[in-house]
Amino acid sequence: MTGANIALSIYGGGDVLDNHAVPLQHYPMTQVRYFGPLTELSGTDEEQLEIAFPIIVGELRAALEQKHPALSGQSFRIAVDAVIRESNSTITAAGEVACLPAFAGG
Amino acid sequence: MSIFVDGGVDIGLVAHAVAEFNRDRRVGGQNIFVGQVRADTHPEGVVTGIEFTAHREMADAAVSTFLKRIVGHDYIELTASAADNSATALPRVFIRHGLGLISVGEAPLLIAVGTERRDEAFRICREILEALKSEVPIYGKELLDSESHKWKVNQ
Repeated sequence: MTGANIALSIYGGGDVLDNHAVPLQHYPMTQVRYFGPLTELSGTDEEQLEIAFPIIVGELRAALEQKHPALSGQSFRIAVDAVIRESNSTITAAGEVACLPAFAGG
Repeated sequence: MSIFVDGGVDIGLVAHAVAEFNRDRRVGGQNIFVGQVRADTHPEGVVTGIEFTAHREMADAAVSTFLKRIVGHDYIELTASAADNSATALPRVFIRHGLGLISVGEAPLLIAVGTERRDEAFRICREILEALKSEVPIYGKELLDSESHKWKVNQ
């Protein structure tokens, strides 16, 4: 877990992935999508989450793993608005977050 | 234009692609690859079909990116060249990938490549196949006769 201060709480009817000690504001809902085997490990294809931006990709991943413990230890990349991002990059806003395990087309 | 279609790829499109490339007087070689769902036997059961899903927006973008790298131009649908083949960039490429449930014996993939010479027809077809497997967010859930399933892993 990269940030011990990541708190996962629920308010306003949506789940909140918040890395601030005290939630100061509401953020737009972000669509989080899971693909391949991650759909079973998370129990869903997609969900609406309130994410406290800015957030580092690694912190977002840790928060998602906290919400869905079965994702821990899984190999997957995170795409923000259809672009794969490095784990140390900062996301300032996102309409969609996609969790992508190894591809299996063809 | 997207290469993705619902369900198995219509194999009649092989003849369509060949005929279209036949009309292109610059083409000297064609190579066709058809991927087919195989009845693999796993300890958990025998594969009866694969349910393919994809992140469509990212998949379309990934196809565009690898085609520009491999053949030097974006995807051009066959019908775009009907009147004047010389207006269509070589190499000629026709690709379809199925999504949704595709049963054993059906085809999730068709790649047709038309080039001036044979070597590049084989090479480009192979490179497109490998790029489709490694660079495009597509997933396959193998459905088994035991009513369980297994997630497809590309070798």
